[in-house]
Amino acid sequence: VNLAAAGLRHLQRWRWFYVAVLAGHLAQETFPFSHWPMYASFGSTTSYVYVSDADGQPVPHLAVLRVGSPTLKKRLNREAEQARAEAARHGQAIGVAESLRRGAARLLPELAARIAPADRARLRGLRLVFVNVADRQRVLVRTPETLAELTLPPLAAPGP
Amino acid sequence: MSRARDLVPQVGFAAWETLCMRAGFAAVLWWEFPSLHQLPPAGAPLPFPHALAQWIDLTWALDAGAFAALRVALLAAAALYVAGVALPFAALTMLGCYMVAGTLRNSLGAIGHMHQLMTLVLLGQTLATWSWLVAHRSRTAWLGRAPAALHAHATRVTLQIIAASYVLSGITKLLTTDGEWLLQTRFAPVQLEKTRWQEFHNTLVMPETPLGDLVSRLCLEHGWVCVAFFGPGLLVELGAFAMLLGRVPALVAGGAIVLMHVLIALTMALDFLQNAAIVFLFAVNAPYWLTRRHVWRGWSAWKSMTRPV
Repeated sequence: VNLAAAGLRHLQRWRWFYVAVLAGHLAQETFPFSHWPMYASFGSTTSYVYVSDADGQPVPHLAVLRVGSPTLKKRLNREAEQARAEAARHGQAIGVAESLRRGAARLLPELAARIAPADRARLRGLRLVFVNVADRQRVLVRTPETLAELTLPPLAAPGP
Repeated sequence: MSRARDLVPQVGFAAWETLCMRAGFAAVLWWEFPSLHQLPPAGAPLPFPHALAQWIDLTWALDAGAFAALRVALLAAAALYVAGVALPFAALTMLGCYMVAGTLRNSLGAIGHMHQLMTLVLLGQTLATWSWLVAHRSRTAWLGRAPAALHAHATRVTLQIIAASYVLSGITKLLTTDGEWLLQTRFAPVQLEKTRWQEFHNTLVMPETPLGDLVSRLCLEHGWVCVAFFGPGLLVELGAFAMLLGRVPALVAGGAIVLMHVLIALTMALDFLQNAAIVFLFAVNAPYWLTRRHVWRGWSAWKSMTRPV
């Protein structure tokens, strides 16, 4: 009887705890709920992306693109998903590499639009570079690959 | 029944304790509120409408004037919240501000985890406040000063929301990896390398993470170091429910979570300062411990023991 009473009281007093665990697990990534999937698994490979100028020199993401590196990678993945879905609607089946390339081509113009005029004047183009990071027998190897390039037209000279 | 009660102690927080917590939490909410430039551009449809934005048009908030009004509403509500006046409406207003800004921020096509915990805490406090006032048939506390018992109740609910978030984080790790998360930590150096370079590309300055470099090197040389270093993090998350067992367990569990966040920041250059601050405010509850006489007596005794003769 005591155990049953203890159990009931426990459930009653901790109901917010159990509801919050269940809600987060069921809702997954639906703001403000989350099942907190960050670093929920580790693999022998991972990747990140960065943006460089036409000469291959990296562009500081926060100052120039006003977007953080992790967000940039998630954005690329979303664009790649959309590219894959779009191809499927046209009866095409594209692989991961091709969907990433198409996603990058969709993303670059939007990133270019975020650049302030002062920074934009210095840039002739943008490249989106995908870097694979792998554990090869306990040695870390980074392999970069340019996914897409965008040529930026020169800005019109200010009027008289 | 006394044994049953002992299993689930109900901490009675004093009014001044909850005042400190509210003041700290309000400061975190104000400090961490997103800026307009972190949200999608105004005047265009959302690129990837997320959660509430899939059903309700929230783009009105992207207008500079509307966003400024949102900030003013947050500030006014935060002031009432700290004062403990019109608590149900203050909590609801702050929840609304964070729901709008957080949903818009996550509608850029990338889910971030900066504002989830603080918004969940606001949701918990809003529901706790409204349900408490309805259940206690209090007519005066809706717009007047909230009683200390309501603040204590809201604090206990807050602790449950915080504990649930960390426990769920641990459960997700186990579910995602079929229970093999600890074994998979041998690949953690790959993630450390990725986060280091991601941080570099943010600013073009390589982050100084000597602890991260050391852990990464040792992990690559000896696989067991990964389990020894990252394993306790999983235990800390799964054991976060301990913060509901009383003041001392809350201090221990909360302190362990704050330490975990500090170590993550030092090794991975990833800071979740707002989450650590929330845990510090509500679970560690430093003002309570700093006012305990026996804590100061213990400190004096330790100082006298360690004083050079």
